[in-house]
Amino acid sequence: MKNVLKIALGILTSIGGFLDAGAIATSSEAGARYGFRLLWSLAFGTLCVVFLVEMAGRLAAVSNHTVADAMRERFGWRFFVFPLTAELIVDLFVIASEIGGVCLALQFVTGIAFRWWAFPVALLIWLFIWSGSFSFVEDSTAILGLVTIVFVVAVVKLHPDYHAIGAGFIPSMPPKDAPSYWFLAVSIIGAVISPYLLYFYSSGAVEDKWTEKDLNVNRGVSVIGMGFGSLVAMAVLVVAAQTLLPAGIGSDRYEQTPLMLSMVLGKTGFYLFAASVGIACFGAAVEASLSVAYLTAQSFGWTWGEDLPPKDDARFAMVYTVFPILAAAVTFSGIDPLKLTLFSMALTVVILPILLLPMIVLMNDEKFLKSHRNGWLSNAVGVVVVVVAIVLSVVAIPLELIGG
Amino acid sequence: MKVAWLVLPAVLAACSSPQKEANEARDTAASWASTGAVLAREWSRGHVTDAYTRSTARVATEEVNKLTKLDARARDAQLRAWDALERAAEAHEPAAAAPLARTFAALAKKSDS
Repeated sequence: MKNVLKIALGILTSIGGFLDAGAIATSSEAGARYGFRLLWSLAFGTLCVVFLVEMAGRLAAVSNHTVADAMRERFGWRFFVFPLTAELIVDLFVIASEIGGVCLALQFVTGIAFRWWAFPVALLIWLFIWSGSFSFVEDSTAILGLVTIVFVVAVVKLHPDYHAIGAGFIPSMPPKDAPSYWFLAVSIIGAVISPYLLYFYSSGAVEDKWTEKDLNVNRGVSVIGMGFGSLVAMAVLVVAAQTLLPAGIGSDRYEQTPLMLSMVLGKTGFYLFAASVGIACFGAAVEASLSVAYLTAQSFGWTWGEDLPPKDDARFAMVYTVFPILAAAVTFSGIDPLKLTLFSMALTVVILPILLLPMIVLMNDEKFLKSHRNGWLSNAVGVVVVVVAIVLSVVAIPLELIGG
Repeated sequence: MKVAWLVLPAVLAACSSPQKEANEARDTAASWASTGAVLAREWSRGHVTDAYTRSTARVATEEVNKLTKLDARARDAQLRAWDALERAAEAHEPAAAAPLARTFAALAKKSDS
């Protein structure tokens, strides 16, 4: 019974926590430009992230090591410094994008330009992490994030052609503008497979003191939770395809996107859109900031733990204090949040192989996983993910330049 | 590897030309004009707030101003419509939105053709 409750809570948090600036930006642009055609990339990204999250949780439950901890121990500091540096740079842009998302939600409601909200939002993120426990941070943002289910409600109300939606799960060539299509496909995969999620999830499992007894909970949360979570992202794409595309709105800027819900649900839809973007991005910014602190502290062997008072892990607290401020400075510079989000998603794809290849090796190491090493299915998916990640990392930047 | 074979030709095939830039500018202008038509309609129905209408009009003006490859008359016509929508939102006059929605729809149609 306790396990069922844990899985239920995990699923709820996954649904509420799946959507972030990247998923909203890429899904709405994909729907507005190409209809249902890019649903396959969301499905592919989801399949990958389900396996990767399950691996990260299994590693933590069996070995009591986080992904960063185990990687540093297995491959040594000289190797680990590369994925660490790459991840910190990407995370800075990811946090800036998420802060940008919260700021835009506030701009939608108040009319005050998004950049002026950057530092107040960063302060709020810091306060939230500083004063909250791990379960408070994880559960509260995710439960509030359930507001994003409004996109699923909108899909039901729109009565889309479900056969056409089904066809979108089969990869197809674009009717026009191939570089933009592939750039969006790459960005969607980058938005779904967020490496910070793996560091956050494995650190959370250690914070929650998972053991081998929690492996079923881990499996349930990663498969059902991530699966349902991605449904919300798919709903965003479908709503954009049903509203923005027929209206001829190309989703060139975030500012155009609230119309997709106001056209279906009126004023309520407008406010729920702002709430969805604001809460989803705030939750993601909190998780990404904590993830950076986890990663840095675990890399340098500092004391860490969201449940510890900040005075007991001062260096850990310093990281989650500094990063949101730096990210807020990027947002305050006035860079278009949509462009920043798409850029950070493409950058995520570029660094994926550096992070995923060692993780797959790690998941086959008996010293850490004992009898719970990867089976043939996890390894097969792992290899496919790594190969695709390598191909995508090679083409992401040229596509960014040509089609982004 | 299959993905690479699909992606690489697209990358190689894409090269910028004045014609392509002009087409892109026309597409973007059409997208913003359509946004104006929907936004004006949604605002007149009370589905979106004055503040959102105003800030979106401001962003649209910035974006349309960047379309230097667009025919100057088409750009000016759209800029005038956005300016009118922004002023109407500032003065809280949603009654002005209906004719503006029609203006934007006509501009979108013209950009598409």
